[in-house]
Amino acid sequence: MISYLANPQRFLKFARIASPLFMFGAISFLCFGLWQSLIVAPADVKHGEAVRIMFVHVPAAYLSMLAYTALFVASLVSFIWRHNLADYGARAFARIGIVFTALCLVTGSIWGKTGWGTWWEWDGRMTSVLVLFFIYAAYLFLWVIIEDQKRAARLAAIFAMIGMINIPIIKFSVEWWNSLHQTATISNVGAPGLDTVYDVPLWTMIFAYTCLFGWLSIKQVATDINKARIRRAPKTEGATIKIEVV
Amino acid sequence: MTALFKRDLKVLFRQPRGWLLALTFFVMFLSIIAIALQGDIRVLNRIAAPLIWLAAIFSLLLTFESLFAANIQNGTMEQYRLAGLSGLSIVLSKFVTVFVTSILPLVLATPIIGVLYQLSVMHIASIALSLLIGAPAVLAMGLASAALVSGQRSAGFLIILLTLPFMVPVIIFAQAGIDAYPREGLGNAGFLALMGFSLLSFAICIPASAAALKINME
Repeated sequence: MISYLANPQRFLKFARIASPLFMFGAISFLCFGLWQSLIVAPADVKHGEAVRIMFVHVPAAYLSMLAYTALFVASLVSFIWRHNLADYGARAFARIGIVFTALCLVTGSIWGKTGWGTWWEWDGRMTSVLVLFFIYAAYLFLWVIIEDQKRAARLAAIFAMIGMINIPIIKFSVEWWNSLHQTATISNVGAPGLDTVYDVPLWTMIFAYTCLFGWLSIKQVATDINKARIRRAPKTEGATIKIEVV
Repeated sequence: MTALFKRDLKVLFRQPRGWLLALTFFVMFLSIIAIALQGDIRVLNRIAAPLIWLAAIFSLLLTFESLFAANIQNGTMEQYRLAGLSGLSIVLSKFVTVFVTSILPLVLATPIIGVLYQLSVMHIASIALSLLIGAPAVLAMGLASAALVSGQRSAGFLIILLTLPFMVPVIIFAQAGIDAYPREGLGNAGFLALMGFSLLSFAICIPASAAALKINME
């Protein structure tokens, strides 16, 4: 499957079919999910109407990690086989990932305001997402600052792999730090044991976000292929020789 | 390998700009903060450990810009390659050199900060120990970042940007270790975790730096 798609030509063909499919999936899941979460789902006993933020927040958090995993896999492939498509993929995943990480932070902050009464709390989860955001930013800066894009791809891949190994440690350290300094845990927002009425909207939204991720990344990679093609295309008409018989 | 290490060491000692700059920055930065806090010893005492750690990280990373770039520019790196030295040994030599010329002066300078901030001997000892244990992690990650961006303009900033996110565990473990040191001594969980992270960073970042250097020399 992966080696089949590794050919840019075949990838473009695949993208022509897959991209509308993912788009359709994303839009329909989003419509259904938003209807479910904003209208059908009842307000929570503890959080009131604010519980609805969860349906945009939790999928964003999930996607921020999914995107980094995808980024890691693409980087690994790019580093070992030095394939263009993996480079395009890695950059696309990072760009989408940083946006959803930002969305996760913002919605988390809004939810925090209603739940805890502050916009920001240095708790384990928020801090580790913030650090993840910084890692994404540093990764993308590598791409921006290194002009030779081929070189940038390979260097960025190394950075992404270092990041992948470090992320669990960062997560662990932040949670450990938290347990040291905040013995009284602030309310257990978004913890498991959620009312089952929220299962349907939450999972629908997670599917919607996943489809959106697939759609955006396929689109981005296809765009990158086409851009590279335009760059490589000859700027002038090929020379022709006209022979006139006198 | 030993010849390479000796050469690196000599170059760094004969051009003391780098580590002297780092050391001066370290002391100056911490003094300026004390002045900014209006010399409030109580506050300074409380935040001394994280401040010293931050100052150490920044002063180290600021010197990393020219670490590989100079060698690549004047062709020394190519000569190493031609002489059959592996990237690993080049990076390893740099690691040891920087440890000796930059980390050790910083650790030795912490008692001065201790005097300036009026810290207890126990406190300053624990901070110096944590620096000694955690510095390899900072160094390894900084080396990897320096190797990644060697040969780029405005590399200095980028080195800091690339390294800082991975300093989160270092700072947290060091702080926990310093807090627990008076009660539990050197074997407390914080210091052990810090040691583990240092070893892990070393194991990951040295090969990563070598790979990045190779790419940057092509």
